[in-house]
Amino acid sequence: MTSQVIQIAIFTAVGFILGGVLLTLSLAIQKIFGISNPTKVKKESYECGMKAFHDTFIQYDVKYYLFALIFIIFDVEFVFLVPWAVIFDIAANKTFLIIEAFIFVFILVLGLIYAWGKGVLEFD
Amino acid sequence: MAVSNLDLLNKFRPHKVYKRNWFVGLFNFFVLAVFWFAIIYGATSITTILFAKILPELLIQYGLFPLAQITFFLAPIAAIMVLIPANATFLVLNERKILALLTVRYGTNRVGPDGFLQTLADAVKLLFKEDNIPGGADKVLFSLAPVVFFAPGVIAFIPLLSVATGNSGPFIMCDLSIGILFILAVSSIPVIGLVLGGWASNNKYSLMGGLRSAAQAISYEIPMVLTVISVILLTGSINLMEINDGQVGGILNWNIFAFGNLPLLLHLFPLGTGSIVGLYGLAFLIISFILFFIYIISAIAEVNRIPFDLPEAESELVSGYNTEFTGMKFALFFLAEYTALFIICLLASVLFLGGGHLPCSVETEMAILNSLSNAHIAGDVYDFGWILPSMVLMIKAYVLIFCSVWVRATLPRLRYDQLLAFSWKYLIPFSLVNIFVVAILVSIK
Repeated sequence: MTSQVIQIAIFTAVGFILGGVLLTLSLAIQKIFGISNPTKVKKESYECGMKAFHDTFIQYDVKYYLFALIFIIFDVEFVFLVPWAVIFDIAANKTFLIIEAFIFVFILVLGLIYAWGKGVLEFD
Repeated sequence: MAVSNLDLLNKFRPHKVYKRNWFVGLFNFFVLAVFWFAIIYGATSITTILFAKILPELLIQYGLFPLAQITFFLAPIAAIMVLIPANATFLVLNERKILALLTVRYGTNRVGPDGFLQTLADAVKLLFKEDNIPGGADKVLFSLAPVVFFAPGVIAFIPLLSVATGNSGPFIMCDLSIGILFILAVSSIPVIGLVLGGWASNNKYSLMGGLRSAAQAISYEIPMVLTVISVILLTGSINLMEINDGQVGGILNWNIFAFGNLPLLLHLFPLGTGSIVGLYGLAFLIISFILFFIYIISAIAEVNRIPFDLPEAESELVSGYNTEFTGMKFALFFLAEYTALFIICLLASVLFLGGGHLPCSVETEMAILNSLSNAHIAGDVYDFGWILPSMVLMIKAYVLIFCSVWVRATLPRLRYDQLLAFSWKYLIPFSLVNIFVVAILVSIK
């Protein structure tokens, strides 16, 4: 168990480090062998013909945030459903397990229905 | 003799419209694919042997034992680091070639014979391109985003390697007991990279692309994970290796065909009291097809491919989140996108299409495996038993990738509200019901 956790931690760390190393290396290659000729126009952010008139660190639609909120509820649900699914095959009292999971999912679905009724899922 | 449209076109146009025999095109593509497979395989296995055998032996000779252990431990990651760029290079070429075949064009045919080295040339070009950071961009996050997007692809590959190599040689340490959960968890990290990249580049198109991709990825992750939970219910394991080995022995044992309950269908006829068992098997068959298609739909949406490529809809958002990225940063985004597609297809073939097992009986497969591996050095890297499962898995994944390119060539893009509504109003309720149907089916076994 512990060895698996260490294994995962090492793999994750090495993956991110390697990603960083790959980018740094290739940027170094670019610095040495490539050209670099930054001009004022090149540094502007891309816009269709016009100059961009303010930066993009602005407010945006709350809809995206609401989607993320509903998602988090479902995401937590997975964490509880996976062990349920793993032991289901070997469990003795399967009816009890189904009813239990049904109540659990039903409460979450009520939330989804509420959000649906409130028009969160409508994008205009 | 009837005059075809093509002849008419040729008559009135100054440029000749070329007819291309589709069979010749397909054959050329096949030859190209075989050569690229050889390159990918050769590069990956040479790296693995270098890291798992040659380097450790050299280091032990000089008395550096801990360093040798580390090198051996890093062999899978070195293999991945070679496999991913090589594979993505071919995937791009593969996609362009198949698209060309499907739309009756030549496709890439300039660099190398029949465009063989086109994407390699593109990669070299991208490496030397000017690295431009737009003014007003958040410099740290801008550089960090490609890494955050790329690294999870590398990490999510690890449990799949154990399946692909049949747990041989240095790959035995890749076998995580929570394989599926690990892949699902890791493959939802790239969204952070997309949002970071979109937000940091100080461009409205990028910001919209990033936000859209975040909303889309989280929406389609739910049906995907719910489908995987149904698969876990049916197979009773979250270890990829166990799911893979449960499907050994012929095409009818694959999970897509009723999760091993196909023999029950024999009870269907003659109709009578016994045919209830047959109906039970039929229910499993239908459920398994439904699960497979929900998985494929939500997986294609999760990796932002046409018809779900709203985050990078070029007709409205230029190029979405990677509009401002140039050179190697853009290349990393590109690489990660194709790797994500490859991982999704590998996972689909492990979960549903028999994984690394040939569609033949166990005895035949064992005979092939034994002829490939040398019994006296079993467990060694020179034990070439890993070639068979990895080759089979790769071919299955490439068939799925071909289908996804086919979908790309066929379907138009969805509207954004339709896209989200399809997930939240149809796929999610449907797959929630699916879980309980599966649970009830399993419980009355």
